Amino acid sequence: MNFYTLTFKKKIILAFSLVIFNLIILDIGLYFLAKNKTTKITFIDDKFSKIKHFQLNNSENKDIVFIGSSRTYYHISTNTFKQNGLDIYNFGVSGDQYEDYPTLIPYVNESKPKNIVISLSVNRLFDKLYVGNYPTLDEMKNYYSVDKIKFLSSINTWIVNRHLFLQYSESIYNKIKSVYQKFEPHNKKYNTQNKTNMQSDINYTQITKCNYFDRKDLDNGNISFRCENGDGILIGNNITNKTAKKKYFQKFNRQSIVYLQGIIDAIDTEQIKVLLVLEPILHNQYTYNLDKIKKKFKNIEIIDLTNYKIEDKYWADDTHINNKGKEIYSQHLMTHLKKKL
Amino acid sequence: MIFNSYIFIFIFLPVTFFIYFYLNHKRLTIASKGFLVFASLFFYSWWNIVYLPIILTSILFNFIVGSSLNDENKKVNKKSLLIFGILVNIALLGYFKYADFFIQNLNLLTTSNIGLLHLALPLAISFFTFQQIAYLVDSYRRETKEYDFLNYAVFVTFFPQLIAGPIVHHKEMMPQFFSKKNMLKNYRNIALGTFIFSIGLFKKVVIADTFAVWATAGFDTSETLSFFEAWATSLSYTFQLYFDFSGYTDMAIGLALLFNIKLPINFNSPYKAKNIQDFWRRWHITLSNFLRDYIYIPLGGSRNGEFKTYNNLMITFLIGGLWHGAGWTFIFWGFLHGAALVVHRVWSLFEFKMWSWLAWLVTFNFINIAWIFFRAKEWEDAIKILSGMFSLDDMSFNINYIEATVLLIGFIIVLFVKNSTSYLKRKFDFSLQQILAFVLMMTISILVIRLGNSSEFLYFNF
Repeated sequence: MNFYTLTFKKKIILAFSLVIFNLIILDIGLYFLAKNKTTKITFIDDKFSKIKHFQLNNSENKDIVFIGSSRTYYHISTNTFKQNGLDIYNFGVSGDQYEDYPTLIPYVNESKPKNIVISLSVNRLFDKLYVGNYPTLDEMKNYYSVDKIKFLSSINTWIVNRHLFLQYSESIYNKIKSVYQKFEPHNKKYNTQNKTNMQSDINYTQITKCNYFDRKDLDNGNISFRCENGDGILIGNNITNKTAKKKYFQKFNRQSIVYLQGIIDAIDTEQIKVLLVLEPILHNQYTYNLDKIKKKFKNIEIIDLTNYKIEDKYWADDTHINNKGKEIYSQHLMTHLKKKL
Repeated sequence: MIFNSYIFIFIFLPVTFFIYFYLNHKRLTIASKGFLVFASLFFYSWWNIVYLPIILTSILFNFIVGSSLNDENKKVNKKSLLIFGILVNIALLGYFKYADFFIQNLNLLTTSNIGLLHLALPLAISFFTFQQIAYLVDSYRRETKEYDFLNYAVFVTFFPQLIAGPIVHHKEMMPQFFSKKNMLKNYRNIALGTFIFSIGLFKKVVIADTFAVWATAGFDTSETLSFFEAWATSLSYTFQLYFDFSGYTDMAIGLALLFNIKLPINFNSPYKAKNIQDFWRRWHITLSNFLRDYIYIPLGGSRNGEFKTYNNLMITFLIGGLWHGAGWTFIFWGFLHGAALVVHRVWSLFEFKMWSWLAWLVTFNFINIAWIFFRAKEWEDAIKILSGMFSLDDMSFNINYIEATVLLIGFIIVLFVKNSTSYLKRKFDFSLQQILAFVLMMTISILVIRLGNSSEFLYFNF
């Protein structure tokens, strides 16, 4: 085939085919790159990576596996539990919501833990069901049984996510940003701060009390660390919400309750004890009826820490506690859990 | 819906393209035009369906007035009808775009306390209003005529040019829609259209949006700026605006070509201009032509002596400034350009000469400084940038090295790279280099859209 004899039509087909080819090649590259990013001591902010990390760490028969969002990831201290004789795994994933948990549950069940603790904010029981960013077939099955519209929406997201670049775009964006920041001149104010932080890197190992493999300077001034044991740690104190707006929750969201009950049932059938922890909220702004919640989930224990007072200085931002808050919270949670286990 | 979104590129455009040509292939010409209007209105309503009745009413009104102006048998005073038509259009634009600005100034002048209306500005209202005013005037001058509502609706709503121009004339568009040849797929036009579209997409999402980050940081975030930061901020906005708007125009031209429609060129390397008159012959050409043909010349143009000419120039550019936005900074920007044109005219009258490089430097810097008022949300923002640019107190070089390099590349592109629309004028064969350039620009743009999330074009709100 001679290029110069090609018609416009064939050239157009060639041009578009090459664009598609590029995108496929990029995906293949990303697949292998992401695969290599997860080892026994490293992972990325992605539920699939965390599943692999969990499996590589031979996490069978743990005393507790904590499942949750970034609030589990940053709030649960594996070391604090370990020091008190409890062998746990922090299955918190940044960006995940309970809508993502049907994907994790089979792997956790397979490892036969003694207890599974699911953490969520109480408002999620009253809020609408979301479609996760990266729905899997397991999640889509749950959407189908709960809400057909959400199921259709999850099909669309699932199709779009076949292009891996879309899945990893946030990480890629952050990488580009960090490369850009390396070209800041030294006389920029915030750059000087960064430099100081970098110089005192060694202190962070003591502060975080974990072996961390990744550090990220966040836009709000906090620093995020990823620890080899699966924990995340936030350092900083940058809350913006100084005064709380009271919120009253009365009507449960039926779909959310049914979806969550489906997750609990999937654990219950394996005869693993399930506990539901309602996470602490900055400035204790929610009002609701706990008894009604308990009636909704009869076969599980509920630990309500929504109104557990954590001082402002222990919050990294409006929704996450920092490294010091993490220890205090984990200690407090442990005392509750020990009574229930 | 915006051109640089996945929904437009992967769903709306291919579906519209194939259905339009399928209907034409089946010789369903009216259905194909009807479908194009429907698709364009769908495209328009994607932002907010509330705007739809406004544009439909505007189209219907102007069609009725235009038909009456064309109808030789109608015994109406055509001049009065034209004035009525123009006034209604201006009233519509004035109500939605300038009511709050007027009330604010009235409150300020009279210490009254009239409440603001807080009206949402209907998308593209400035563009479709100007386009239809031009149609009415052309009808009055017997330069064009239209008796078919569907044809008229296609002319106004054709989605590539609906939102931010180019401002097109009925007489240059309709013969293209009527041409039987244009109802068949033309693979050369498709190749050229996709190629120009990819250039525009790249200009917008890769270049303009990168400059936008730095411009926003300087204008909206920083409290004070050093000398270099201030210059980097103003230049970033100057480049952002050019790449954003010319990128949009390239995409519009490329998209229209897919449907075998040739839109007028709107940019011709404006930052290469060596005087302000030259700049306005290269920047937003269709708007410049509109201002010239429908404001400057009817005011008397240059026919009534030098002083009257200066006056007409100033009025035209004050209106031009106000057209861009309801704010004193926009009017001041128009005033600066009007004043510069007056100075240029006086300069030419006395036959003063300047070195070519100096003429470019003066012109470019004037444009760059004037854009500061165009971009600034408040006077204080403009003063902050200007103070930094002309104060030597803080001369520390504290801008990111990548930013500095990209600004330098920006200069090279606007000064030395060939204009994208030059492909329209010469033989286009979709050579191997052009295909590779297309593949590279499309791939990078598709990825960057995801990274940066699609942002709207600057000119949508004007």
